[in-house]
Amino acid sequence: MSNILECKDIVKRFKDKDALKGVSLTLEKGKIYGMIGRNGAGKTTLLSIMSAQSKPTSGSVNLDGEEVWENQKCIDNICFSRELNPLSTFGPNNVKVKELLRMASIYYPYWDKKMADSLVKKFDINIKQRISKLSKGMLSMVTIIIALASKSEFTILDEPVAGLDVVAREQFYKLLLDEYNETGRTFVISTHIIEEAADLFEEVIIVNNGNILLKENTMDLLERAYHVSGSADDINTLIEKYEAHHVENMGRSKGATILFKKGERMESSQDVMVQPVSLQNLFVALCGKE
Amino acid sequence: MDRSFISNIKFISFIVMRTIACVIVFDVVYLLLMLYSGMKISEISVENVYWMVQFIATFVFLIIQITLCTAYQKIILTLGSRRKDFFMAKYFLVFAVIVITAAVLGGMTYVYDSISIVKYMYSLAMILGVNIITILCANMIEKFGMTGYIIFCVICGFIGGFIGGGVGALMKYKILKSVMVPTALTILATVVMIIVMALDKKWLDSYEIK
Amino acid sequence: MNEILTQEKSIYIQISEMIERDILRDIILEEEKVPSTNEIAKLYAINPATAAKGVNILVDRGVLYKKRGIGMFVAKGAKEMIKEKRKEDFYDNYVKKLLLEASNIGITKEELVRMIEGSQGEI
Repeated sequence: MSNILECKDIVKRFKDKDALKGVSLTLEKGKIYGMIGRNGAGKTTLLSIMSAQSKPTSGSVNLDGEEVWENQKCIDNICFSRELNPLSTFGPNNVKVKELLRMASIYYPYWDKKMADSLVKKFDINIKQRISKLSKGMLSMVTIIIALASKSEFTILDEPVAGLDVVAREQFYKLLLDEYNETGRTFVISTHIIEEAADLFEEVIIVNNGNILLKENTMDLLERAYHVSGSADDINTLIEKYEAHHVENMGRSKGATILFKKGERMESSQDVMVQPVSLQNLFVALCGKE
Repeated sequence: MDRSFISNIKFISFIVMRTIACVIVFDVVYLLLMLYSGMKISEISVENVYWMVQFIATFVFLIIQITLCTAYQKIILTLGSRRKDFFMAKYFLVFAVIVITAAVLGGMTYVYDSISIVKYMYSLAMILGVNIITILCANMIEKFGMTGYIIFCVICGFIGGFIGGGVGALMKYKILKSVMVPTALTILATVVMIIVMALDKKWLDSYEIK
Repeated sequence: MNEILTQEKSIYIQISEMIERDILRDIILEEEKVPSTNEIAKLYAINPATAAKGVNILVDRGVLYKKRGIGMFVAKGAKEMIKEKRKEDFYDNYVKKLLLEASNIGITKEELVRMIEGSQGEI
């Protein structure tokens, strides 16, 4: 049984940039994790390293204490479903869907063929098509099917809904929950469509500029984040007292997003409007400025 | 036996099987061409140089297909294979085919006088040489995509032309007929192959999936 | 159930309030089974842990009780319990806001009382 996937001080340096600057992360089994971050924040790099598909410049990734790099026992329990983009699938890589599914069945030790077949049927995917000829939506669906049918304990999906329309996205969320309810597998999902998925995540991980900005239980996080607005004087008092982000001005009115520390509370004042913040708004407030 | 190693063997076999139809077509066409050019059925025997060429060509084709699996690196690694296992499976199969070919050819050389040691050695050297070029080309295709493919086809063309036209012309030089030259070539090819294999492993280990 | 989730409050609180509303309106009766955590999670596309937290608030208050292996049921007297609690919270949840807004726009307490008495027929 795989229980803990742990990253210690992961640094990844490329020729032209430092993608990850010392990331430490512990993932427990049985949860749905959400990973959000701007483009280029380092999400895909981190996920690739976590799943032993890429080697960190320094630092280590352990599954239940064992290093994952080139370790078959660990790799068998982690599935990383990348975005398959049509451009990268040239030449020999341009296989047909049914070939890709066959390949997946060769490599994933717990592959569930029945599930793969039924999902292919459900989403009406033509398995004889070459992957470069699939529409964005179908391609996303194929990567989702591979991830779900892999039945790996730790299943990582990198922007699974990127090519899907809203109806398909909702179908995916329901599929995910069904699978989670049935098997209790651990899922790590990175996405840009934050608000829809926010409610699915038991814990959310925010990656910013090669660092983990925070990793916290979603409900706990949202219970300590509020948007305050009112007169500039009142708001300035709050900004001095608490951790404030994304301060906005308009004339004499001012607004800010406040992130309280655990247990911190604000004295309610008549003149300051306090509203809860959505995960999306909080993310923009924390990572929007540059 | 490691499950992952076997997975890679299965994968490479699957890839090679996809193109097995080409081999069969090639063999049939070749046979028809020879019959058309006047050869009589009674002359069909392994001693005949045409058959030897077809025999070697079929196996070389297999070797090329196996080695070209390097171009599938990206999919294989994304599906969770270890780099070690992919490397081992690939070369295990390549060497299996080379050894079988060499053994069968060797057997034929021993049995039939018409196949000299010289021809045998040249064949070996050529087989190894083709493998070396294919290893390099496969990495090129992986790195450069379309361009790599084109370069590979051009090289194939050159080799085909060389075998077809050039070899006959070179046979004028007596020295090339001695056993020493092809044997030396074979040994050189083996050494180069080991170097290229090491390069292949290095490239695989440092490969970043984009 | 089947309402739309808003952003105004934590999701798990909304889940528990939704169940309360259904009980008050007799959509779920006492001693009847409440949808399971997984069913609720799937309906709203939320994490089952969140749904569970919402349900557990009601279990802790005694509004729901668990029948091992079967699910969650509405307790006897749940409707009364909910009404009591809402009465306690009524001042904080509604009256305070009413008074605040009234004072913001200059409506006096007497005018408020007149408004309430005038509306006897409508509700």
